[in-house]
Amino acid sequence: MMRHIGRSVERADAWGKVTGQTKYAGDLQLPRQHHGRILFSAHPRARLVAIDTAPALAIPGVRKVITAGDLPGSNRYGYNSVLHRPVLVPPGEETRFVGDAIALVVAESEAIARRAAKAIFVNYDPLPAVSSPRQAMLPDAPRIHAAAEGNCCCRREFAHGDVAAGFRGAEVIVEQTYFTPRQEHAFLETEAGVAFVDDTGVLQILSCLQDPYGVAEDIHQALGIPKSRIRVKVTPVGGGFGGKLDTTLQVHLAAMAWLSGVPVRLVLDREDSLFFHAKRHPMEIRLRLGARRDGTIQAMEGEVIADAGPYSGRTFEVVGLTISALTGPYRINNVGVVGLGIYTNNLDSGAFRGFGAPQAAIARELLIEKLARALDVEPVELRRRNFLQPGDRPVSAMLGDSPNSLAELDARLQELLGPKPPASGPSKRVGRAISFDMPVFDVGAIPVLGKSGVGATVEIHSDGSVSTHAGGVELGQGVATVLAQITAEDLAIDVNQVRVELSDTWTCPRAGRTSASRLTYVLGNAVLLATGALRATLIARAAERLQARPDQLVLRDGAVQLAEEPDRAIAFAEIARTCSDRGDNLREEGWYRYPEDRYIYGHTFMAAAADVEVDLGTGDIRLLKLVNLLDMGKVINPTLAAGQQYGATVQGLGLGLMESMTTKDGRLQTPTLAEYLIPTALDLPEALILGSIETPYPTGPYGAKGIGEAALNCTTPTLLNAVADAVGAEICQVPLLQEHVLAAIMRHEDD
Amino acid sequence: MTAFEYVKPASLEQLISGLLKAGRSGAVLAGGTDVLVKIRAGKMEPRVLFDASGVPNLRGLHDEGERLRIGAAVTMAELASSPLVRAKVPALAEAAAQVGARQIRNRATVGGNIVTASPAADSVPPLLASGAALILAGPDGRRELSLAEFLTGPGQVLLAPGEVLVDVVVPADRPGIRSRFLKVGRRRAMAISVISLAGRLEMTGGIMREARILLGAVAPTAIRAFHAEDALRGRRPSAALLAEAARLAAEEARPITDVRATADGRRRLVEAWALHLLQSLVDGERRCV
Amino acid sequence: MRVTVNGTPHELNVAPHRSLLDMLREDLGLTGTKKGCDAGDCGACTVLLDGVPVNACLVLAVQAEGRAVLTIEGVATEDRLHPLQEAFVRYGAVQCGFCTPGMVMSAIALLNETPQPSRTEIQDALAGNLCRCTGYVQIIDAIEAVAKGTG
Repeated sequence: MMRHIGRSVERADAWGKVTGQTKYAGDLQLPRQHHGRILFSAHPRARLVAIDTAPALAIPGVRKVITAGDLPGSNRYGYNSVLHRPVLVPPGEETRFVGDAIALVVAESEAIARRAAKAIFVNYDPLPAVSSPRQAMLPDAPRIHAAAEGNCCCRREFAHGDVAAGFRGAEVIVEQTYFTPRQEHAFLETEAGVAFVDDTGVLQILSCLQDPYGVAEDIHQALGIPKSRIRVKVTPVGGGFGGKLDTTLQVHLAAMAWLSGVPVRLVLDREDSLFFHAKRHPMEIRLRLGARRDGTIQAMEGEVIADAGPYSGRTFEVVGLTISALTGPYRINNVGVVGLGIYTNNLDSGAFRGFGAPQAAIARELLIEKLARALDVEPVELRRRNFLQPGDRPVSAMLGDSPNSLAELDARLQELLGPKPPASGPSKRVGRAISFDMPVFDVGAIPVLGKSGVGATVEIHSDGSVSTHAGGVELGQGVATVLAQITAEDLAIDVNQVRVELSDTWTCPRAGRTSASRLTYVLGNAVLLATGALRATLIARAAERLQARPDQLVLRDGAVQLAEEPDRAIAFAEIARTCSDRGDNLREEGWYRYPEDRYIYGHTFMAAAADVEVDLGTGDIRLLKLVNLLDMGKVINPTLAAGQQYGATVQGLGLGLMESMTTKDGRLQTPTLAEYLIPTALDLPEALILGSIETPYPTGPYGAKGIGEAALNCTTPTLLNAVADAVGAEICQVPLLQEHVLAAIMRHEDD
Repeated sequence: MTAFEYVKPASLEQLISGLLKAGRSGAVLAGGTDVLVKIRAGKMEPRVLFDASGVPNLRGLHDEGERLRIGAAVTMAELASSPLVRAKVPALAEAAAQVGARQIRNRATVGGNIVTASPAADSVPPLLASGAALILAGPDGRRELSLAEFLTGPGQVLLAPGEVLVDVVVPADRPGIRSRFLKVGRRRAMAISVISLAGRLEMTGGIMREARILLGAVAPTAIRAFHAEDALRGRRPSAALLAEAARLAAEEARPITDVRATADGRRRLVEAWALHLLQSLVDGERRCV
Repeated sequence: MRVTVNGTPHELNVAPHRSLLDMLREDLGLTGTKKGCDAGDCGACTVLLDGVPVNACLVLAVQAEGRAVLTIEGVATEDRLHPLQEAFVRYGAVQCGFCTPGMVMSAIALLNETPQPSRTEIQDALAGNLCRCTGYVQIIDAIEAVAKGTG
């Protein structure tokens, strides 16, 4: 019987957040704090001819104006050793997107910094922007990076079996091309930070971000500052979702603090944030499926073209995940998919919840619906006929063993869904759709994510209070609470005795990135390794005092007890004091590596269903019911897990019905949150129902899986397919707007 | 934000003389939900802002029997919740209730909505449908002007130098008149209208005596669908007739393609929703959207 | 200018173009009210102005002259959280917390005006407060629970 695992323990940071006491990066007020501002490029692509900073320097209150020539170090940084991104574009070079930085200003106030940035005179020679991957791939297209022929950032292949033979054996073939939108994270807190050089010459960065180690690395690469003199501390993050995973303004902030000699605060305007950080990769996905008349899919073939934007970033991994996620939870043994990441001068592309899997789910689930229509088979029945069966090995070699819970999910979904409701009027139609997916999560076996090892430190203080230090970041997902629960559970103490300290590169062992739904799994396991070592230490001392053998003792109910005689016990605080007095090491670092030497993801299963009512006269969509069902593995904290599931589902709803960051010639057409629309509280379905099952993951802490991203994956295509079912016509548009629904209705009437 | 001076006139006269003196570099601040956003975006650069909230008698809502007199500084929230407006000009209350969200409605004023003159301004179609008139006060005194004449283009109104919008005078719906407003946005709140429609139908003895159909967000200003109205006048409603009127209304729309929708898409939406609107007016129901 | 904030009268000099939001955050150090967009699009800066929820970014500081402002810092009493704050914690309505102050203010205004709101009325009251983390459901649950007295 577990004390804390499976309990909705209240989050320790909640009090500060509900009272407004929590200090986010933009709330910090340091003595002598100055204000920074970034001058961004006025053009998506232009040759930077000259910069005249004199007009800015003439403004009273301006402390420093920085251009590329002032920067120490290489002025280049980039993810995964592709060091091709400049901090500041040097004169003579070309800008690559509107988020490239040209100059930095440090001033006494935000207003002065703003005015000074505007006063900098920049001479550009504007050039035609490469505004789509297709355009970028043309033979005469300008090269955005000298070394990248055809503007190709990466080319990846996913192949299995014999695709040609598969299609020969197919009696029905369907094909379609889908365009998935550029989705913006729209976290409520824009990028922000404060940086200063302390009195020992250490550069300290206090900022909201998802990868403190990556930020330190990028600052070092770009500015040449030794790592031992860089300290990155993550402030409470007001939402990330992958948008704060890449280094955002921290290198610029570091340069400002390093060169101006004063603490510098930098908070991005929403308008700047919208074009600056990397977004979900827009993709063109052409997919083809061949099946027998009985519905069994024989082959899948396709091509993915992802808009990488100006820099490579995570494009290699996202494209890789997309092409390997296309088969989903289905038995498709003949697969041939090519994925291209192509540079453009559009906005930058990078990590966003799902990391390429939502795009794959959109294409796959929409095409399966089309296949069902072609075969005249009920769509959910077609999916069932192609489910991976227990014992099947998924074709992706990147997946390990995870019990197949599709049948259980399917059954549970039917319970939650109930019968399809009747339409509420003569000109209305109710549509229903069901999709399935096989979301993945990191288990510490992807080298770039955790650099093959992840640590957490647990320290028992002499008074019995406990500190857990871990390098993961609290984005709101509740990692601090989950780690407190795991620490307290294994040590058999109250959860209030545990304090979790996160994301300080100086005090926390390397933890890798807060992404890929990985923290509960990798840090939970690292914590358990630490607490395991601590238990041994406590038990060894207790064995002496209780005159028993260590193997007779357990930690239970806040004490070390004789398993057979619980009354013979020593309270936790007391044994901690004893160990401390005796000079035992009570601070253990757990270092977690995935038990096998393989490059793999963990995976799980999900289902989504939607009932919608479409008014055939107006195209208006009523979202009657949206069900999201996820195999979560062992749920550590039900309220937190539900929060992830709700949040991801509503982001999927937004992606399906309203969200698109469009660009024209490299310029953003949705410059504010009045044009880029995310769901409001009034956009929820009439019933949003969550469900979960718990199939323990063999190597997860207490059987936990990574679940933060999963619920988003097939929400989007489920909504679209439900509308298609109501209208009786294929729907391919993402996001699906009212005018598209009307067009589909008219198409159906024509047919 | 560019700095400006702030003045809070205590009387209408002070406001008028201040505006006159400031000329092009002065602007009225009412709710601030448009003006402050524009200033911050650099789309407006006034040197002086005149806060209208100190001027008495701009916030009244007066029942004048066959019409309503609404002060220019009455907020959307007040319009949406006013029993008077809901009873006498229900389409206006409907429109006001769908502007933005509560925080916006608590500040945004009907006068500001009219003077900002966005082609998608939500209070405009129902006011035009009712034949609203405006009372303007300026250095040369007061004058009355129809709302239709007042709006001349996107962001363009017939305000003389020093002139201020003081009142909106709206004929009340007489018995036998049904009116409605609806908007189509890309989400259910905080959305600039993709299209909007206001309809006002006078039906007696089963015959449509007079119909007014207003289309918003599909032309430089909100426009009357005159051909559609002509088709309905004096006739009994039928499915075919309403469909024809809706088709005519869509033809009269002059929409553009922008970030919210395509021109063709807007036309299709106008036709579909005009039909829906007419059906609901004829049926006399407040249909939920 | 004179303004009462969370029950305390203040007298300050502010530039005419300064927003109420900046005045609260920077001149009074009340950083609980957040700046999410500075354009009235997100509701993170929601405060109660004479009891009415508004976006503080769209009110000039000088427009608050002689009026009463309630911010998140004025909601809890010295020894107790407001029932809404407690419910937000309990129901998982708080994740990253950035929208939370604005949400609480909108919820307070709603319950003051409509003590027994329907779920749709709650949604309407929150429509001007964007949240990207929670998907709103647990926030609505928390407010509903307080309204029903089960919070």
